[in-house]
Amino acid sequence: MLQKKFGYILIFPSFLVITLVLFYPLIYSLFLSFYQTSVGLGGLKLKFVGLNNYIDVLRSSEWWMSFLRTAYFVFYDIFVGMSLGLGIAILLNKNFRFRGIARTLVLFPYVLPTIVKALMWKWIYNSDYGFLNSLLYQLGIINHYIPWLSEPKLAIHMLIIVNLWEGTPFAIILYLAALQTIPNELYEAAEIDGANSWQIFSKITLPLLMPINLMLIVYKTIATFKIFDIVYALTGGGPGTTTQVVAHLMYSTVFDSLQFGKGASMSFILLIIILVLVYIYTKLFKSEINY
Amino acid sequence: MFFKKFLKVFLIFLLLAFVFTIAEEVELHTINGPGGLEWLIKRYKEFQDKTGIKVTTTVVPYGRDQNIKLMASFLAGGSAYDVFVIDCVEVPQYAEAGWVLAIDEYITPEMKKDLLPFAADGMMYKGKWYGLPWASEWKSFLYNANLLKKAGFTNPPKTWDEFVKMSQTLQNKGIVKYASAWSWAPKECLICDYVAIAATFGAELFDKDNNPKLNSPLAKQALQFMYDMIHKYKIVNPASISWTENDVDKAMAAGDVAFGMRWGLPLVMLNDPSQSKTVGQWKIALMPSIDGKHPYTVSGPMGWAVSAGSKHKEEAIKFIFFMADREGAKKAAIEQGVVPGWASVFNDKDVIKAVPGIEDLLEQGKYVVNRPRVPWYHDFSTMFAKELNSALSGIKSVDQALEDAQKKALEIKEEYEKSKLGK
Amino acid sequence: MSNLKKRIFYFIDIILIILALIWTLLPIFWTFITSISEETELTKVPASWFPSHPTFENYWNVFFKKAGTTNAFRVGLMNSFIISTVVSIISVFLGSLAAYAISRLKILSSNIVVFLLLFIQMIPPVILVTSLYVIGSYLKILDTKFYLGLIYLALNLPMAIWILKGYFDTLPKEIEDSALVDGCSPPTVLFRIVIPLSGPALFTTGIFTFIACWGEFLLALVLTDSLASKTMPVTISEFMGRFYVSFNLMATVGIVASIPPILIALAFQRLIIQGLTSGAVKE
Repeated sequence: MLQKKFGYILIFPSFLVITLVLFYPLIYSLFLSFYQTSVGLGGLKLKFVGLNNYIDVLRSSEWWMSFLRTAYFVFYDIFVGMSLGLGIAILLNKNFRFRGIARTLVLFPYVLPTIVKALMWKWIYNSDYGFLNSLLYQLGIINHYIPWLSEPKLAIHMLIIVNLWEGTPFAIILYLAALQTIPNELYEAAEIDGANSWQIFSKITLPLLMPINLMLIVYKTIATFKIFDIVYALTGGGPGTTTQVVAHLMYSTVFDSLQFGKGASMSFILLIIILVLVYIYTKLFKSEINY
Repeated sequence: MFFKKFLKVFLIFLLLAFVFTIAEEVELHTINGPGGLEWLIKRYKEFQDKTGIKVTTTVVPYGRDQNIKLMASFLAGGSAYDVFVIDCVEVPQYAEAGWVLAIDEYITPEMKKDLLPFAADGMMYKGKWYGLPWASEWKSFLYNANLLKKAGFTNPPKTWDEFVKMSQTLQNKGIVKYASAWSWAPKECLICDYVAIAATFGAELFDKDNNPKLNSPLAKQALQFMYDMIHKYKIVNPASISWTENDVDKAMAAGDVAFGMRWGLPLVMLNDPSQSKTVGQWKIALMPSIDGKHPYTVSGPMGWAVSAGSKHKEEAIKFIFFMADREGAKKAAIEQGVVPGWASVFNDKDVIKAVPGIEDLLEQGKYVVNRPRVPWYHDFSTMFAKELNSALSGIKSVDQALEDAQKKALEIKEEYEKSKLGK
Repeated sequence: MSNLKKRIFYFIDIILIILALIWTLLPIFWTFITSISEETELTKVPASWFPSHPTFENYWNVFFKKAGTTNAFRVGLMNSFIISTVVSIISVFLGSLAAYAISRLKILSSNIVVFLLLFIQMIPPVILVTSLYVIGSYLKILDTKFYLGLIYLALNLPMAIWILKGYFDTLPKEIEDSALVDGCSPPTVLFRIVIPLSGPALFTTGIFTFIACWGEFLLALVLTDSLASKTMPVTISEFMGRFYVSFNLMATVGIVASIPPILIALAFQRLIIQGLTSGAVKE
């Protein structure tokens, strides 16, 4: 009993900070999502519109196009980013000289501030003096400089490359951490039994990594659906709207059109979709993990 | 072990970091982009020396960021920033929402006479004044005389046909890779360029009552020409589709292009050896046009405005007049290259002497068009930039893009009017 | 496996690792090269791979020049450093209290904690930012390090609690139990036994929080005004607006801003990787 009381005391400060800072704005946003808003001096002017904001958003093709585009980023993140992360983690888990420093270097994209990453890549993709054009040209891969961010089909993929570059280290961290917990005896035993590397990987490593896979998929889904800074800095959504992502659309709804209510309803629609996705992942993986 | 390491890292941090404390009493508060900041701060100091009123400023990274902060401050009562620089396209929205103070009583008839009409217009909405003209700019067309000479040309192009031919010659002779670059990223800068080029085709994008006419044949012709410059004639750096003014400036200063457009007093930066490799090479010319008779460009007059929520309105008014009255504007033109909104300042001997190319600039100033000034401009501009950019990058046909833009513009207008009735 | 085969595999592994490192480091390396190049060399086509006259002048300018904007950048660095450090320390402290309550005293089910963490991660910051501005304005704490720090704390606490809870779960309970039997109070057990045993986990938590605070942009942009509270990302983006023509100066600023997190990665790589193990793998 005393313990419980002590527990509540311990948890209270954290609870207080989170509630004060995050829940009030969140509930206020939920409230706004049922109103049509216009900004006046000293506050919002509100007009109750029920579910209209939600209906508008759900019927807007711009919203769904942006959503699908963002989902495309997520798709790459999950399939390419996680495979890359796992591959590099397996490599870095082996014994070789300078392993420590290699493990450190590979973390760099994770720790750099986003604004710095945006600055770097903008310069790399520069169509006239950028490093990418120079490199490919000197290697003879391209015979003229390419405006990477101005070609409708190319631009989104250039952004996906940046997103993969900055996202892979986190997957590496988690996979490395997980790989280190797999006892060596398991591998040794399998080797004695005559299993080949693929069998070892698919029968021992992969199943043991399932919880991490689930975690990463959930994390990547959440993080990438929020992707904003890189897109905003590199293409601003262009060419046309071919790189406009949901966060961008929300930003522009709130700050360009000043439709706070509509912007809020977008966030809640997105929240619900992500929650459903996470629920589905968890169900899918439950069966996987038990198996 | 850990703590030792931590201590080490901590010490390195301390070596890297510098502490500066700034603790000054705030009187007037303003908000600025980083451009010309040192000069502005110097002026704020001078204002303080003269009146005893302190001015502090918040620096934002870009013009757009100023909007976010202003919006947020209006939501909270509008007292965070007493004075700010307002763009002509924002005036209607800010005025309708009651965010800016009308300053009619301070504008004398004699002032009205001296203010350049387009600059005055930019600060007015429904017959009231919402700001004092400050950077009364338009975009000037520039050519690199050295590069043109190499190709055997002495005069700048007058028509778009000449522009295309000269561009092709420049490229065929290997003098430049692309003859021109433009700011055609899906942002405000694209709208500015399009409004200018459309005007050179004789297109009007809005009628007198600000009803959009975006899908007129001439408007389509202008956009088609922009598309052709990139994809058919190949005389425009294709990266222009993702470029803003800064990127164009950079290409011009590097000598990569022979033609380009710039705001304000355009030669100041291009003749600054610390920023430009093309000092003395650029000249101002009238915009090319379809028939050589429509040398129009786009204007973007700005002004100093006072927040309706300011708690120091008197001082704020004093301040905007200090910055932007004739004396202030003259100082700004000479010291900082800010384009004055007063005719008398343009004709001032000191100004003419100090600012290179001001006569050429003034010649272009006779042919300027404003962007549409409607309270739903932000919404419209976001949409329109995307449509234009879709056409230029070949995602949509020119026809389709402008038809869509017209439809959406009408929707935005209608929605605005509906929400206004609902108030 | 034969010795030769083993060697070949080892060789392939090394090649792959080198490729991975190139992919990771090339952008950063190129930025560094840019930062020590002269302006004129950057507009060469095709680009030169190493500057013929490498210069550290830009670094000198960024650190010591008295001009307004570089000064703002230095102040921004200091503000970011203060906010990130203080928030990290407090979030480790509050987080470990809460984590202990959840792990040992079973206050909340861990499902709720996970859900809370995920939920807070899901909220798009765009939607919080205006409300936070208005609240800050009413409370007159806008444009202070305190307010920005408080918000960062709230955003990062759930993650801190989660990592620490995962770690506490792995600690053997016997020591605590015997201490309790010996008549120690729960607070004594927490502060004298559990926390001192958790050094690495506390550091990991602090590091993750520090990195998150160090890079945050949107909230800092809207909620800070003056040099007294502006953080590094905001001042960098001002820099980008102002010195857009000097790629080398911008690259220098980028590299300088990356030094603190890179130092952290260098010093605490093992912790960063192991730290999540307890939380993540056990989940």
